[in-house]
Amino acid sequence: GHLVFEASSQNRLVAPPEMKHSIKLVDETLRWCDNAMEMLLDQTDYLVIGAIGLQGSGKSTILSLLGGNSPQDTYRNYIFQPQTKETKEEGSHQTNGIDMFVSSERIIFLDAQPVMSASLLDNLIRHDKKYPTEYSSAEYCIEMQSLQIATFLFTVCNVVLVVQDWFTDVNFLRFLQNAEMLKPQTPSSVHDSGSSQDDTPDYYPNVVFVQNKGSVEDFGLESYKAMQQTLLRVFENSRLKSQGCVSLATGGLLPGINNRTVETDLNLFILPTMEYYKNEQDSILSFLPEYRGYPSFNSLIKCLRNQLFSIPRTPLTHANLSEKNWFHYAARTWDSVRKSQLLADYNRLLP
Amino acid sequence: FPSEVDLSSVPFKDRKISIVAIVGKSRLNSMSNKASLLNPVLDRDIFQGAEGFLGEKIDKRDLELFYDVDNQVVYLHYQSFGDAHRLADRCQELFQEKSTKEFHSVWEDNSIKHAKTLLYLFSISHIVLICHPGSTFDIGYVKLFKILDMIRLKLQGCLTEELSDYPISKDWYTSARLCSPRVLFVFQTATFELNYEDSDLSYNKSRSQKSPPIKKLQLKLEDQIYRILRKSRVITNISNNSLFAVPANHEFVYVHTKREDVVDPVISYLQLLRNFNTPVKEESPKSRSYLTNRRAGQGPITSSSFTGRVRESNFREFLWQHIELAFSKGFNDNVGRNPVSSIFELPVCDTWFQIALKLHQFFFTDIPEGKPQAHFNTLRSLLETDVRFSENRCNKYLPLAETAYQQDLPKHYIRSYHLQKLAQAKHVFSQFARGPAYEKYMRQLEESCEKWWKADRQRCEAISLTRNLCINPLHRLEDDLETDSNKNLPIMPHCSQIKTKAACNCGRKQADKEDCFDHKSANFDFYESLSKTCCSKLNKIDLPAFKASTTEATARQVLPVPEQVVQSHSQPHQRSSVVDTKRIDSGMSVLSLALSLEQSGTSDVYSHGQPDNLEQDDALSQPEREDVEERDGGDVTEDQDKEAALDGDKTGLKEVEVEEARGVNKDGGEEEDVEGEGPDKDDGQEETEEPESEDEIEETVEESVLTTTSRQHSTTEYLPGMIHTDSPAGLLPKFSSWSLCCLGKPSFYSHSQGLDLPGFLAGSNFLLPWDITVKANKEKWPTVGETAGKKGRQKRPNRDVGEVTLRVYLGNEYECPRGHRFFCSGPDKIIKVSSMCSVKDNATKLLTLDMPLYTPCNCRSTKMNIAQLMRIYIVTPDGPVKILINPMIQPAVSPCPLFHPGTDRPIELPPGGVWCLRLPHVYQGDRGVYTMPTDGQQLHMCRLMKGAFSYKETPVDG
Repeated sequence: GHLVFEASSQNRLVAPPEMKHSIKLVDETLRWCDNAMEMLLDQTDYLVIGAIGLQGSGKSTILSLLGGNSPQDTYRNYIFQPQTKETKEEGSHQTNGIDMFVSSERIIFLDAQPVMSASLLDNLIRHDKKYPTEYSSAEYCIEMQSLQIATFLFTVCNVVLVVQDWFTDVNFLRFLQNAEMLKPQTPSSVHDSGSSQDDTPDYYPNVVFVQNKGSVEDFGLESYKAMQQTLLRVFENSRLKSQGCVSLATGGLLPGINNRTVETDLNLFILPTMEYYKNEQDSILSFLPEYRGYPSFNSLIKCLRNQLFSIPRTPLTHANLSEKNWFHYAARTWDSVRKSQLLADYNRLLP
Repeated sequence: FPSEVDLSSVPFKDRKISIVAIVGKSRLNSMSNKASLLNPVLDRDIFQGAEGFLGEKIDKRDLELFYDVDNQVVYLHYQSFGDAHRLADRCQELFQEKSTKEFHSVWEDNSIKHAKTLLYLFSISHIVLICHPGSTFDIGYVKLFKILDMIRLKLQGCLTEELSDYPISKDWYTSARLCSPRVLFVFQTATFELNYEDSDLSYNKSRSQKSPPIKKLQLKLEDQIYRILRKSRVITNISNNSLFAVPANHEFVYVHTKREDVVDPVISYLQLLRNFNTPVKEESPKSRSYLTNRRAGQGPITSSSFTGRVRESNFREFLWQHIELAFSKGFNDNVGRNPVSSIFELPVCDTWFQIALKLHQFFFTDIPEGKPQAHFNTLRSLLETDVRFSENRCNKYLPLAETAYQQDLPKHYIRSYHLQKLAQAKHVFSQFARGPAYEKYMRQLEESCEKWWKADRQRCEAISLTRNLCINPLHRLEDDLETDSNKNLPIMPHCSQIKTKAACNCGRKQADKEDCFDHKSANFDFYESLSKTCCSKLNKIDLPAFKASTTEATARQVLPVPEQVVQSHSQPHQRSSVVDTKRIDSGMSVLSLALSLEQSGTSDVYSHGQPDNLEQDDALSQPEREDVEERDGGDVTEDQDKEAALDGDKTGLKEVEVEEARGVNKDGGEEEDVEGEGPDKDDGQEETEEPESEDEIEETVEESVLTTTSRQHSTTEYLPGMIHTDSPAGLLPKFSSWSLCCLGKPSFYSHSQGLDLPGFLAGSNFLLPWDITVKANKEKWPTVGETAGKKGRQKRPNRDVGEVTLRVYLGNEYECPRGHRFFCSGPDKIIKVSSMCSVKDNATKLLTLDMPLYTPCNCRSTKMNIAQLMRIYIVTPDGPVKILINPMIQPAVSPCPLFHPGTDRPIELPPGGVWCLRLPHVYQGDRGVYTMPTDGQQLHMCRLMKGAFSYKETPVDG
C-alpha cells in the first residue's frame, strides 16, 4: 500500500488520543488501513505484541486483558471485541483482519483474525465471495490468507503469542512452522529495501505459547513439563525464539512449578478458564475460596503481563524504528506478504 | 492394529456387525482420550486414557479394537500425533534417546500413517467419528479428505484384487468398502462455557428446551461443515462416488459440553464438602435469593453430574441413531433428483475380521510392489506440501550456494580458507533456502564443497617456524612413511617461498635462508651447508650431540615433567652404586656436606626466573648428579676444574655466600694438592704458536668435550627436541643447534675497526671491552675463600700486589630477517660508533643484565623487523684467565625452560682467540617451537640470562 504521510506532524510531543478500543490495521478484505497511524508517536521505546491462534482460542480476550482490561469489565468495554454469545452460539469468529491497540505503556497490540478458520471459510462460501483466481479453492484461499497473517505477525512483532485453547493441535503447530518457512526476508534498511541485503540476518520474533482455558491438570508439573518438552522438540529446528522469556516457573505462583523442577525454558504459559464476573457473588456465598488447583486468573494474567513486558526488545530491522516508522515498515511488510513470491510458490504446490 | 487377535476366539462369527471407527485429535489429558467418550455408550470403561490400567498395552498400538458382542458393534479407535499424549510421549522418547533424528521426519511418517489409516478405516467401517477437542472444525481435514479421495479412487482396483478371495457381495468387491461411510463430527468443548450460572439459568428459564444454545451451535456447525465439504467436493450428491457422506437428515455434529470425563478428585471432594457446609450457613437469618438457595441445595456436584448424565445419554442417542440405521436400512446419503441406490453392506463378523486383517496388511505391513506402492508415494508427496516446497527451494538454491563457494577460488587453499568460503556459501544458502529440507541440503552443500576442495585443491597446511604457511599443494615429505591416505600425493618439501638473510656459523658469510619447517633445518642444516664453503676449516668446539651406538637409534618419547624429575633423581642413584669406592671412603661425609650446601647455591644459578617448583626440583638434582659424576670420573683435574668453575661462576659476578665459601673452602685443600698438574697444561696452551695451537686447541677441545659429555648419555635413544633445563637427563639431540668456533687469533679483531663481517650496520660492529684484573701472585689466590666475611676487604689489597688487567672483548650480535647485524651494548641499545670516535661503552651491561633475545632492528622497512640474538663473540686474551660461557636462554614467557648448549658446566674458552658462539635460530621445546611473541610486552621476557660470561683465573707462574 502506498502511504499518505500525515501532515499533522507539528504537534509531535502531544500525546495521541488515549485509546479505548482497537483500531483496524488490516480490514476484513485484508487491505491495509492508514488511520491507525494517528495513534503512534515518534519515539522508539515500544513493544509489539501480536496474537495468533485458531478460532475461538481467546486471542482478543487475552490481548484485551494484557492491554488493561480486567476480567470484571463488561464485554463492551473490552479493547478487542471478544466473541459475543451470539458468535459463540453460531460457532463463528469475531475478529476480522488485524486490529491494533496502543496502550499507555506504549505496547502495540495486534489482534488478528483466526487462522485456518472454518467460519471464515464458511463465510467465503456462503456469501459466494470472489477469491483471487490464483487460489484453486476456497479453503486454500483461507490457508494462504492465514499464512499471510502469520508471516506478517512474525515479521513485525517483537512477541507473538500463540494462543491455543487445548493442547495441542498438531496441524496448527505445523501451520506455524510453515509460516516461519514462508516468512519474507527482513529487508536490510527501512529506507532502501530491495538493495543488496546479504548480511542482515533474518529477524525472528519471540514466540510465547499461551494455553488458554487450562484445566487443573494442565497446571500440574508433569503435564507442564510434557507440554514444554513436546513443543521444544517440535520447534527444535525452528528459528523462532521460543525459549527463555516467559514461563510459569518464574512467577512463583505455583508451588510445584519453579526453576528447580522445570529444566526446560520454553515460553509456555497457562491461563485457566476466565472466571468472568462471578467473583463477588462467590465471596458472599462462602468464606472458603473455591478450590481450583491453580492460581487465580487475575494473578496469572498479571504475571504473564509482567513477563511479556520485560522481554528484551530486539529491533525488528537493523535500524531502530520509531513507532511511526514501525507503522510504515509494517505497511510495507503487509504489502510484501500479500505479494510474496514464497507464498505464491507454496500455493502452487498445494494439491 | 491388533493383528494378534485370534480369529477363532471371536464369538458369534456368523452375526452381522456394524463398525464404528473413531479418529481425530485429543487434548493432553492423562485420564482420558477421545475414545473414552464411547464408554457411556457402552456403559463400560473400555477405552482408558493413556494412564489407565490398560495403558501399557494401549500405548504400543495405534489401533484399538473393541467388539461389543451384545450389540454387535465393533469399535475401532485410532491414535495418531493428533492425540496430544502420543505426541508428548514420542517427544519424551526422542529426548531420552538423544536421538539425532529430526523431528520433522518423525512427523512426516506419522502423517503418512495417519492418512493411510484413515483410508483403511474408511474402507472397513460404517461410521467414522472425527473428534475435535476444541470447538471448531479443522479445515485442514478438507485438504486431507481431497487427497484421500484421490488416492482411494486410484487404489480401488488394487483393493478389489485383494478382496477377490473372499465370499463377499459384488458391491463390496467392486467398491472395496462396506459403504460410503458416514462421518460424524464430535466437538469436545463448546464455544461457550456452560458454568453453573448458565446451566442454572438454562434450567430455570428453559428446562424443557434441553439447552438450546448447544442445539443451535450444533446446527450451525453442521451447516458450516456441510457447506465447506460440499464446496470442496469432498461430499457429493452421490455418496457412492465420494470418500464419505454426511447424513442429510440426521444430526452429524455433536458438541460435548462436559469439560472432562474424569474430574479432578480433589475438586469433587471439596465441592462435596462445600455442599455439606452451605446448608448450615443457610440457617443464618440473612435472606438469600432463590437462586443461591437452590444451588446450595442442589449442589454443583449433582448439577454437573446431572448435566453430564444428560449429555452422555445424548451422545449415546446421537451415535445409536446411526448404528441402528446401519442395522435396519443401511445408509442412503444420496441427495438430488435422481437417487441412486447406495451401496451398503452389513458384513458377517468372521468375514469382516478376515478382510480387516488382510487390508491392514495391504496398507501397512506388506504393501504390494508396483501400483499400490506408487500410489502411496503419491499420497506422501501430496500430503507434504511443505516438504515439497522446501525441497524445491533448496534444490533451486543449492547450485547458487555452490557457485558462491567456487567463485574466485585460488588453485590451492587451506582449511581455514575452505571453511571461510563454505561459511560464505552457507550464508547464501541460508538466505534463500527454507523449511524442513534445509538441514539435509545444508549437509549436501557441506559435502559438495568439501569434495570440491579435496579434489586436488587442498594446500599443504604445514606452518613454518616463523608461522608462515607452506604454499605447495597437499604433498608428502620425502621421509614420510607412505600410508594409504598419502600415497597418491606428490613428494616435495615444504616451502613458504619466504626467504630471510642469515649469516653462517662464524658470521663471515651471508646467504638466503629458506623459511624452515623444522628446527633441524633452521638450526643445523642451513649452517651446515654454509659451513662447507666457509667455516668448516675453523677450529670448533663440538657441543654435545647424540652419538649412535646402533643403527636403530630412536627418538625418545619426551616424558611429561613429573616423570622427568623422578628419572633425574633415580639415575644418579643407580650410578652411585658403581662409584669408585675409595673416593667414598676418603671424603664421603665432606662431599655430602658440600653437596647439600652447594645445592642451595647452584639452584640459584639454574633456576633463574623459574617459579615452577618442579623445575626447581630438576635444577636441584643437577648438582647432585654432577657431584656423583665427579666421583665417578676419577680424574682429579676435572674435579678441580669443576670446583673452580662453580667457584668462578659465583664469584665472577656475585658475592659468594657464606655457606658456599665454606663449602668451597673444604674442598680447597684438595685443589691445592693437585694444582701442580693444571698450570703446566695451561701454560703449554698459552705459549704455543699458531700452527701448533690448532692442535693444542683441539686437544683442549677433546678435553672439554670429554668433560662436558662425561655424563653417560644414551647411545640408543636421542632427544627429539633441543636441550633445555626440563629435558630428560641422559639424552642428547641428534645434532647440536648451537655452534662454537674460533675465527682466529685475538688480532683478528681490531678495536678501532670493529669486526669486518658482512651485513653489519655501520658503526655497530664493535665488541665491548671487559677488563679483568687478576693477581699475578699465585700464592694469594686461595685466600679468596678463606673467610667469606672478609672477602670484600681482602680483594682490594690484593689488587695492589702485582695484579694484571686483561681485556676481553664481548659482543652480542643481533641479526634481523633481512640480514642486518649489529651489536648491542645493553638491552635494546644498538652500538653506534661514528667513524671518528671509538667505542665508549664497556661490557658491564652484557655481564650484569639479562640481554633480550629479540630487539627491533634499525633497518628501514615498512614493518618493523625484529632482530634476534644470533651470535656471541668473545675475544679471549692470552693470560692467566679462562673465559667461561654459560648461555642460558629463555625463549618465551615463563614458565618456560631455559635452553643451553647441553654442557654440564660452563664452556671453557681457550685463551687467545676470537670465538663465536652461534645461537639456535629457533627454540624447539617439548610442546613445539617457542616462536617470537607477537605481543610486544612479552618480547622482553625472552632473554639471555645474565651470567653468561664468567672467568676463571688460571695460576700462572710469575
